[in-house]
Amino acid sequence: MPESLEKLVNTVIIGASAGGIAAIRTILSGLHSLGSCRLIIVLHRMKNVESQLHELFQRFTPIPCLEVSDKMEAEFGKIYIAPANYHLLFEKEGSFCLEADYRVNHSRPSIDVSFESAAFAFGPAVCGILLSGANEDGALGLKHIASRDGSIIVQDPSEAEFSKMPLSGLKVNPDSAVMQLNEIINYLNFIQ
Amino acid sequence: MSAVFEVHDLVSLYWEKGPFDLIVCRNVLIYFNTQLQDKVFSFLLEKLKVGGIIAFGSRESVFYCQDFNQLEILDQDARIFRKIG
Repeated sequence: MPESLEKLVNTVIIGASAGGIAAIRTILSGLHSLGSCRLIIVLHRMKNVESQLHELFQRFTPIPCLEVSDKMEAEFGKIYIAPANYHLLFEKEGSFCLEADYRVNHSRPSIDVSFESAAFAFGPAVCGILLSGANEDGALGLKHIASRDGSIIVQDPSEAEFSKMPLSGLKVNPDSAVMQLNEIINYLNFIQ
Repeated sequence: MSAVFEVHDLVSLYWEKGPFDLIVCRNVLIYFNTQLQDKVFSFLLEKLKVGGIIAFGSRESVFYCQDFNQLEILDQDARIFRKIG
């Protein structure tokens, strides 16, 4: 475990795109509990598909999975899924807010937007994890998290189903911790 | 039958027009804090006829607004409601 990751992280944000559902499913299946952490999932999806992702993920974990509505409280010990067609941001007091502004990196929700907002709201308490994906969203967001003393993890590109997103995360943030999914699971079970 | 369309800037909560049969206000309240959301929500309901329809954005939290009990839910997921009183 890199020393830089042994901080008081309580807000973990996972960003993913193509190949992300399977990777997140693997992570959730390996999580014992969240303890005093909260886990937020920002996943790209088709804009016209009304998918109930939180119900899908709930099948793989006993930890409550909820889809975010505007101004919802981000409680510890729970998993939150960004809704389709909104950017997901955070208030310092710990609630979510949604925005319907333009797409960023062709995406809404954009991982960059959520990472940057979390970095400004929670600073060193944030851990950003970038998984499989076929575009470059999330890389700049990780940089914001690192600049506010948060922790940043990139999925090992050799393991990711689509390596473009983790590779671009690493290109912008060469100091990211590189982990395979089983190491990410161990880390999440460790920090709680 | 003909319809009249009106547009209103929510910066002003005074407006002589209405009440309306249909109000569409999607993804505007998300930019307000909860106090202002409450105010604007009540204003919109004032401008809606009893039996009229009002629609918000699909993940807006209008359920917590103080006058929400004036509405019945037509489609919870799509945030479409009817004014009942």
